[in-house]
Amino acid sequence: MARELESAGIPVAHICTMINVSKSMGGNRLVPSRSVLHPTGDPDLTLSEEFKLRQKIVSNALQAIQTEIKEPTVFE
Amino acid sequence: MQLQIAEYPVSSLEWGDENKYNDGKLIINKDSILSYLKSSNELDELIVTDLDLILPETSTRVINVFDVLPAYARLGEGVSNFPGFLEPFQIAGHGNSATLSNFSILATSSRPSRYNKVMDKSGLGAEISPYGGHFHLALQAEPRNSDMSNTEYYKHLKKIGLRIGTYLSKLAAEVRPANTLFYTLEAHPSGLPKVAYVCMLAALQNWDKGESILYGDNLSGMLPTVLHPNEILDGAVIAPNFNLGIDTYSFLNNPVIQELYKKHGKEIDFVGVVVCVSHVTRNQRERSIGMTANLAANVLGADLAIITKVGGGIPESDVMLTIESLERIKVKTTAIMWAHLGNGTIQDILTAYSPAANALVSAGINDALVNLPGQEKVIGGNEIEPLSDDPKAKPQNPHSAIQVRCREICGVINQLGASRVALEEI
Amino acid sequence: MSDIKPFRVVHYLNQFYAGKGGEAFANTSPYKIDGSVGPGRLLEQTSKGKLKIAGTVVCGDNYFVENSSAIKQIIELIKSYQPEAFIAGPAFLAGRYGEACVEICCAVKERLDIPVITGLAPEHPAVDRYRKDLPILRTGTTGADMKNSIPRMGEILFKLLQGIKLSSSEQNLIYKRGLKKNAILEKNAARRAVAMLITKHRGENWQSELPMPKNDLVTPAPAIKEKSFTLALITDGGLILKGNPERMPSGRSDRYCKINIDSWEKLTPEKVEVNHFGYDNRYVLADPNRLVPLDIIKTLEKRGDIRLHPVIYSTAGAATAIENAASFGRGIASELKKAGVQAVILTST
Repeated sequence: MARELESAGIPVAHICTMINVSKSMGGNRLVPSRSVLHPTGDPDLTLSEEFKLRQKIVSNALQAIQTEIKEPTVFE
Repeated sequence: MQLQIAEYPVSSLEWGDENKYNDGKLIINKDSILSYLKSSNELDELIVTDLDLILPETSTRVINVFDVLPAYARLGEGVSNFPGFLEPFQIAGHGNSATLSNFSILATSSRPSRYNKVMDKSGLGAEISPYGGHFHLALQAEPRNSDMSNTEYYKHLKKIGLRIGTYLSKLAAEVRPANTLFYTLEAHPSGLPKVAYVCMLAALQNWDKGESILYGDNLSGMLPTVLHPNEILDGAVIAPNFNLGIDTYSFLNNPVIQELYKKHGKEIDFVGVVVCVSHVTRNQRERSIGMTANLAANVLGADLAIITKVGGGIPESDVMLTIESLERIKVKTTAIMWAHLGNGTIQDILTAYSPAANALVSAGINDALVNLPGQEKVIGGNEIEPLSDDPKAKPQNPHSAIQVRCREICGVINQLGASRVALEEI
Repeated sequence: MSDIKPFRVVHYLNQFYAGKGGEAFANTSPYKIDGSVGPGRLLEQTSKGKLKIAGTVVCGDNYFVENSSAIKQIIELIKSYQPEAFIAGPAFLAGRYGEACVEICCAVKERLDIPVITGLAPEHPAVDRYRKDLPILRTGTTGADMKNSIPRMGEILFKLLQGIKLSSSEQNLIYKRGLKKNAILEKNAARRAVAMLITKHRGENWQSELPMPKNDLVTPAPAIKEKSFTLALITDGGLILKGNPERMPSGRSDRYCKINIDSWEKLTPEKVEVNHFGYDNRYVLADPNRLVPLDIIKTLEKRGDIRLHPVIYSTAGAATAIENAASFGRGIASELKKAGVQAVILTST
């Protein structure tokens, strides 16, 4: 999925835990998530901490989209 | 650590007035089983609603099978069976045990689940399953309290099945066994390549903290550790509830351990088992994979490692990373992997790939569809829950011909390597 | 064998193998010759009376690629012999000739519904494109391999005609179709794995039962330079509308659904749920923003940092089947481009 979008010229920030899988499948802008069970959250945190975590992950993703890269790169 | 397992093959099975095993002939008295279960407090939470004897080469289908369990008992004073789960904790793997071979217990579930399986005793389903030729006792049981959680229900179901298995095995053990198997790693011969077995026990992507997997432990937060292979053969591991392509029978009869033992001292030096789980957070996954590789390479000193997994998706990614970690430190690997049908091409097999994974053995295409012929007798319920994802799909009539995915037939897709079904390129 | 009537076969050759000449004659238009020519003679001889070449159809390499009507003319010529089977080439590594062979084989198969065969070297680009559809014999790279290839093609074609199963060595002479099925092997997977491990240790040859796919890296898309841009959200974590009205499958999906989130402030369990067999969904069900961070994105949209595409695209299956993912990846990409979307956040479980 990331592969097809990136090759169509649309930058994709891929939020995922399996960075190796994404890389091998053509992901370029990789944003590590907390867990496969809750990519953009963490039920062990308080609501406000979790919200901050999500903000941070989204801001990494936006940075990834706005950064020029030459090869698969991890943003965290 | 020395384990001696006396094998009692079953070649005929019937109900009778007494319990008796003689020369392959097993006669079971239903009442005495029920009173034994009662006296061991296994019926406090569940009611056994039915016990059925299932014979090979009959037109029979058992449906809603939750787990396939062995008839297995440790023998002697003061020993615990399925320690930490059925009976108090102690280390398993040493001493004398008895088991019924060509026999297994099918624990059926009264609760709908997309992981329930079918077992046919005639036709294609019987031909392709390693359990096709088995005699079975099929167990049906219901919670006394309908509010019981699935996790609790499954736990009690497994306990009853295992308890019946210990009862029957002890019964058989009163006579001389047909065959006795010795398992010991002692006398490590020099000059042979050292082989470790990396055995993933559970995939925490789909798991409940109430489960009992290793010596009764739920494996939450598990760090990889080393087991003697005899511990697994002797009942330290119960299959997790997320049991795609695995069951408790194949943990106790672990085909990789059995095969490594066959070659031990001749072609290889089997040095032990690293057990681990597939975690869900990135930190845990990295730690687990790194420690697994290190235990195999530097603690067990392995030159070679063979890897099996459970579940799909994330565990596939974990196996790839484990292979990379091991090969990087000069441990050569093979791994047993199931395959996905995907778009039907040879390019689309797994969720994760690594160029280091150059020696994979196939456990079959888990979701390839098979057509099974109708069966006259049906045990385990009145209908087969819809196996497709369509919310409007109707349950299938279990007497008629059905279409299922391979992994939905007991044993056909076995991620520990017990099945002969494999992907073939055409 | 003399009491058996040989099968009638038509043979296709280019101008060179038909003995007409080299590049100078590459513009030759299709024509036919009764009986066998060149390699066809060898085929007849080695088939020991099982195959008879009724006629040979010839076309120049350039004529074939430059004239879209060529294939139609060729099919008519082939039909005139009322063949029971068709053989093209072998073309070895010859580019245009090989393309002609596979295309004509496909057309013959489709229109005449008779067994066909051709032969190509492994490096020929047509192999990967046509192996799914045609039996293609694995040949050497040049005509020097003719003496090996043509008798094999004849033998295999004869078996196809008779409906006889190919031996495993013959199967290995044909390119695999690149598909897969379940088979029952002699030994269980554990025994095969231990044997493979020992073979690998000894440094002998072994073959993985699960080949790795070919993987090409993707050149990264250029970064977004504008201060405010249009963003779309995609997930493969199985997000669906409550009740799954679109009946999305729960794993390794071949479909995607669209969820309109234009009027929502965030994702709530009342509006959406998750259908994905691969993971424990409870945390995401409790708060779906843990799968798609719509709550944060909406606050950014209000601040004017981004413009949000009003639809979330969703499918089930972390890193789903490559081909499927590729096909709907392309589908989504073209839709997004049309809608003016400039960037994507993709979340995976």
